[in-house]
Amino acid sequence: MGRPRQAFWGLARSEFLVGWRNPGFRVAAALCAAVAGLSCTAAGTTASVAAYRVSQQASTVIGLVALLWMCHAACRDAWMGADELVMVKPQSTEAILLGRFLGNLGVVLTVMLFSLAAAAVAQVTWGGTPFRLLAYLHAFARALVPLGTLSTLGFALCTLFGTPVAGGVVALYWILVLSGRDFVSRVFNFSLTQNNAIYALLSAGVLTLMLLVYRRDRRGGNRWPRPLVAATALFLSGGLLVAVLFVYSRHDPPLHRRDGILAIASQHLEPGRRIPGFWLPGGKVPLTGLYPFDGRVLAVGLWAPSVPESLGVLEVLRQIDAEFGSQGATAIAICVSEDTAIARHVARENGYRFLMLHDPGARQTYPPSAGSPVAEAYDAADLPKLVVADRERTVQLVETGIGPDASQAPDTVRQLLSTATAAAVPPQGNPGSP
Amino acid sequence: MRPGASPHPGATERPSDPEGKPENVEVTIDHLTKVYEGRITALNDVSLRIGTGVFGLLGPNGSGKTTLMRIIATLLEPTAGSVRVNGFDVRRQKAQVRRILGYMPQDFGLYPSLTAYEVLDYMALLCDLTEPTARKEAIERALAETNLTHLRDRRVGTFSGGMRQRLGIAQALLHSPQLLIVDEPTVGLDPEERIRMRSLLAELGQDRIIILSTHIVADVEAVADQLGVLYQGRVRFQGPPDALLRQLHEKVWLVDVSREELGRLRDRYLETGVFRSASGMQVRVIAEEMDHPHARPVEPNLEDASIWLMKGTQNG
Repeated sequence: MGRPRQAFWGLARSEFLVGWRNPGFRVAAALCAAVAGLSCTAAGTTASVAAYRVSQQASTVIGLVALLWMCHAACRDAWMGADELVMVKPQSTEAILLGRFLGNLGVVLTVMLFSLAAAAVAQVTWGGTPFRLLAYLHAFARALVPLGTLSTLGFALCTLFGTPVAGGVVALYWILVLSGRDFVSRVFNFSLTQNNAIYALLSAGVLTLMLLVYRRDRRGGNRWPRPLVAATALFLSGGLLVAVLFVYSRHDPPLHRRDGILAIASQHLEPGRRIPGFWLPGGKVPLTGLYPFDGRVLAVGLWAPSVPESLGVLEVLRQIDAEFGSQGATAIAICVSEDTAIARHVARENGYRFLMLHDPGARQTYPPSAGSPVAEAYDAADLPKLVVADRERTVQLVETGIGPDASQAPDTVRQLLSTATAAAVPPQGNPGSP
Repeated sequence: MRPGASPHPGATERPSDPEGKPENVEVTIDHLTKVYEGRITALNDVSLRIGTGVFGLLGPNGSGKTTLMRIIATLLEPTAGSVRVNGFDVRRQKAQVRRILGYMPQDFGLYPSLTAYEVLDYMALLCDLTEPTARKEAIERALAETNLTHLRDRRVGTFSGGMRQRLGIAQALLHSPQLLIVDEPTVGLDPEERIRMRSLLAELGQDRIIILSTHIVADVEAVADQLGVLYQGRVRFQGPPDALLRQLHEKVWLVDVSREELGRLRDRYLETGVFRSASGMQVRVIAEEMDHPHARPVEPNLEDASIWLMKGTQNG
């Protein structure tokens, strides 16, 4: 096992070198870095926003570059006439193809790193906000599976069919998922971190399937190697199984709808009436509702990473938590994002200690209320939205004017919180919780 | 399995020298046929025995040389027949054949952004030379053998045609193959590079089989110990070049002719060359007997012989 592994890493290193020296790589890296940098030049762009933007580009611009690059890598030897030189060599098909794949995946990830670096420079220089390494590490981690999936599919299909046109099938699928994300179940979207397990397994399965077929068709393997067959079956069936489990355990229309989420969406926000309740993931327990906060003043802020201005509400919630938390107020942020990891990442990156939940039924739509059950319940046509409810859970204030640079709660909110927290705690046991 | 070890049950086990390399390498081709889609027969019942030394495979374009090379190199499946390299069947024992095979195809590309050393390092890994010291030694040796040591750090994209061809040979030599297949190695080279390539092949052929496929007769004439002539997918001749030349002894003539006579002579005899002379034209022809007053017998060369094999025998 030692020798093939040595060859594999050596080949990956050589492949990376071939890519690194390719003028196409420099063009791709410069293009992606420019797009990333330019998207983060607005004054006040925070590290979290900049990192989020670049991680989104991993599924668009950088994803396209990755797909094109891997299609090129798969067909490169045939184009330049090196394929016969390579194929007559005694090295195993697995080491050749996996080494090539890994080396070129390294090139793609280097493009991603350049993009993140450009975004960081733009964010610090023009955005004027502090650099946070963790935000960029999170963005890189979020980009791994989308880039890996696009790279794997492009490389595998082009290798098997011997033409870069095969990569067009992947591009077509991806365009359909992106353009139809309002209608297509989120399980088909490999850019969402909650689907990482599905697409990591399926990508591994596609890779091993490619090895099997290529080995037999192009290098004259007489047998189907059992470990490879088993790995292929395991990865593909595992990926499909996880996908099915995910669909049936989540609110993912049109494939599956959950009554609990639909019930959240059926509520309405109205000053003077009870604040819409919820059971949402993101807290220390699997689902957090309003029940544990009976008798406390609630400040619920809705935000979305796709609306960078809305991140201002998080600073307001931080201030509320710090100033009024000990007086009986609870700050709760609800992230309206398709990607369920964003809320957690943003909280860590910025050191938010208040409760950060996310809407598991959210889609990336405009207005947010059209695709998010929580946003629908809170009538959030625009974000951010801050709702303050008193100890009786009655909505006392709805604030929509919080700007991106907000660091303090508006005076009206502060005054209301002072009054509400000063009020007596009602008897426990509100009926109809959450 | 290492070269020289017992290749498979029933195969001939070959004696090995102290370094583990077999003393007698052999390629055995039996009744090999290759029919492409569209019923194009590229090879038709080809049988050859090839031993140590340079084997020149001669034939015009489209005669099946490259198809034969690719089958021996495990890149193409034959339709019928068998090829064994040192006892290893190229159909069923591809991995073993690849371990003792070096191949330089007719048209090939190498990664232009890498240096010669880096290209060879990559190719050495493909040859399973994973141990760094052994790989480095193999690369240095291949560079030295092909006289490319001084170019080791130059990017391949800047190489001339001759340098590129020599690098092609170098990559094929990395794992010291017992069988080296070179397909049209001198095409596109200038005279100086061509001579250098021939010398290199002659040197390399001392202790291994080199199958030199070419349509350039002078290449074979310069270096081949044995010769095979392919024409329309069939073997027209196999043996030492001298044996072929002996068949044309006293049958090749050089005739001084006027331009007007040239056409008439072409109609009557098999022409193998035309040259301009001070008095007009000189024509090389093949004929059993010659009654032209300005004709004189000359020594046959392989050019005459190959044309005779390909056209003469066809015309009876």
